[in-house]
Amino acid sequence: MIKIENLSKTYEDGTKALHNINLTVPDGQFLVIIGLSGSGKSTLLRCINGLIKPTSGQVLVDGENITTASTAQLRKIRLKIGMIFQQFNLVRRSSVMTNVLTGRLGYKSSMSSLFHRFNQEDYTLAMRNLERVGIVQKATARADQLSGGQQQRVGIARALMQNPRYMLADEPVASLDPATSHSVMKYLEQINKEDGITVLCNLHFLSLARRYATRVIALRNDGEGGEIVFDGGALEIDERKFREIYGEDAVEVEIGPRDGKVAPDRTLAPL
Amino acid sequence: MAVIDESVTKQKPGSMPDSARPVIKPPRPVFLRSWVALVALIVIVAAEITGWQVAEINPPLLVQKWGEFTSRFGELLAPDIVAQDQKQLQVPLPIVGADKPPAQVKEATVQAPITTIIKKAGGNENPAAPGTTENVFNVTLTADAGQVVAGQTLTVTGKGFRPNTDGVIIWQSTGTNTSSQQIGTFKADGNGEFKVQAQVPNDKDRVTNAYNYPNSLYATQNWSFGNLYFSDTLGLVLGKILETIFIALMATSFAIVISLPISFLAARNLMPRNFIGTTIYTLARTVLNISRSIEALILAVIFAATVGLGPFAGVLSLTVYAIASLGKFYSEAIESIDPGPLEAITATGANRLQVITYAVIPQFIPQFIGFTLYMWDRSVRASTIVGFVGGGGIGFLLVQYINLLQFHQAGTAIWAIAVVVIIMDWASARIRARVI
Repeated sequence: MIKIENLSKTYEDGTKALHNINLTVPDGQFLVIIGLSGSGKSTLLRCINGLIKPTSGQVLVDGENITTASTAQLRKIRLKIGMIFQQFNLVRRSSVMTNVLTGRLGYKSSMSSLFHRFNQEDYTLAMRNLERVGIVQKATARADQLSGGQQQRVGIARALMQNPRYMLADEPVASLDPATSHSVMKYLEQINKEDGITVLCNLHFLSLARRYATRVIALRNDGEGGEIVFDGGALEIDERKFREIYGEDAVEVEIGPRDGKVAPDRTLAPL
Repeated sequence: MAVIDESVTKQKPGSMPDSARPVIKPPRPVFLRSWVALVALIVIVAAEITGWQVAEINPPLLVQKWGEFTSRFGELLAPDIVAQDQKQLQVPLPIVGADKPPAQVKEATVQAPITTIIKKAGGNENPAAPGTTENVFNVTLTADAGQVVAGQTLTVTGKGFRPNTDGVIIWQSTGTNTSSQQIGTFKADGNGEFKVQAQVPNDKDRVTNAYNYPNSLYATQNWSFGNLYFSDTLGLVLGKILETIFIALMATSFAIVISLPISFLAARNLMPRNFIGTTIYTLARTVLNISRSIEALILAVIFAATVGLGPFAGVLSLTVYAIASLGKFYSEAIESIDPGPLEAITATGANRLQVITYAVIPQFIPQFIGFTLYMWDRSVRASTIVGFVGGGGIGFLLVQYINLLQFHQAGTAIWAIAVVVIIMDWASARIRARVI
């Protein structure tokens, strides 16, 4: 369980990113966080695994306080929190295999990893995770030879190497086309359902949120830092809620239905 | 014919008239805008004029010496690479008498198998084996004047010289100014004969023979024989260029070992943003900046004075020089890497050393290799200059050739440097293309 209490973040340059966030995420949820750019979604995720130190408030992961943890403790907590990113953040010059294996570093000592010592178990695990995301045949390719969707799947495999209980996904499909977006989201859904990994996912696409989320929260930043303006089921977001989250001028636009079967893929576009 | 742009002369109907908008005039020339600009212009002109005088700028001298320049430059372009053994036929013509009575010309006749001189590689002179037929010349050399005064023109006639071969006429004085000077050239015809004008040196000291020894004219022919072989200069230069490459290699290697750790400390994105991190970062930057502000040439002078002239002094100075540059290159390359993978690997629970091993180093390697190869290349070039002041290597040899006005030999050294730099550039391009 992730418990966020009175969390606020103001950056050194004075930008107010988050204001007094209170949020509890029970295990097993697929939580989607929506909101405009700059509403503090990314900051919120990074406060959860300690990549960003909050200005005030605290984050408890399974009862352990991230904000007061020592460096060693923090690394231990991070082990159970996987993360994937909008830009995939793979080491582009390294092989897919090496990228996936880095997900195992938290279990290794400095000395053994300095000389690239992963054991056979790690390799077996890496192949297993690559197979889960369907790119086992790309294991020896260089990461920059893969398409965007494939790179994001490598990112998921890397996170799975940690054997995580939680998965943070920061705009995982914002750089992908709609079809690939769905395939990546499906892998997230799969690890959520099959492995019981709690997913916290930032999204731009409301349609994707409606399709995959078991719970949606919306952040809105009116200058004092992002605040939660909506918390509920995905289907509860009606026209009025939508305008509340995205502002009066926003409209939802429709793009063509996918595979001719799903409901119209409604994507947010600014006016 | 002027082009009329209608958009200027005509206005679109219904748009605001130009007079309704504020008018912005095009600016006047910069030097007319204010008295400050005018004063600045005067100061600049005055500085240029003063500079012209202080730096002793002398274009006519350059024009006048242009021929000399081109001939030296031509020598540089014609390096001394191959050589041939040479034979020399040198015929002396004594010019007897002192200033009073005036020097006189006697006829020199040599009608015996004369001993020619064979110049071997490197200028060793060996008398030719006796009885070699090619060495027999029945030579007659005459000059037409009854007496010789400074600056006078002599007609020099020769017979029995080696046919179709160039030669020079040299004035050897034995007077108060003992020296030799070329005063003319000739080319023997098909019968080995020639007749040329030569001018006696226009210097009384060199024409007067104070000790009653005769001055001499020499008619000298040189010709090559035998096989071409690589010149001694080439051997020397190759040895020294090899030394230069190794000096640069050692300096670059030492510099890598020292500057690599410093550069990680001098990379803002790797150092924690707390007091200790910032202090270490600032300290590392300062070390790099200070060592970079000292020129390799000055370092070489200091090290040569400390450890003696030679390659070691060169290595030491180039090392310091390369540490500064590499440290800066490396740290900036590290700062410019994509922070995404760092964040991602940090998020997996990896520690700082692991993040560096898996996120920083793979991204840094292409630039590391590129910069290091460039530094080696630059060290080779710098070591030639460092050699000028005693740092060993090719520069040491080059400066000697230049001081002795041996421009053919200097050309060999310069060409060798150019060839090495080109090869290294090509090789590093190939290597970089492979790793990026």
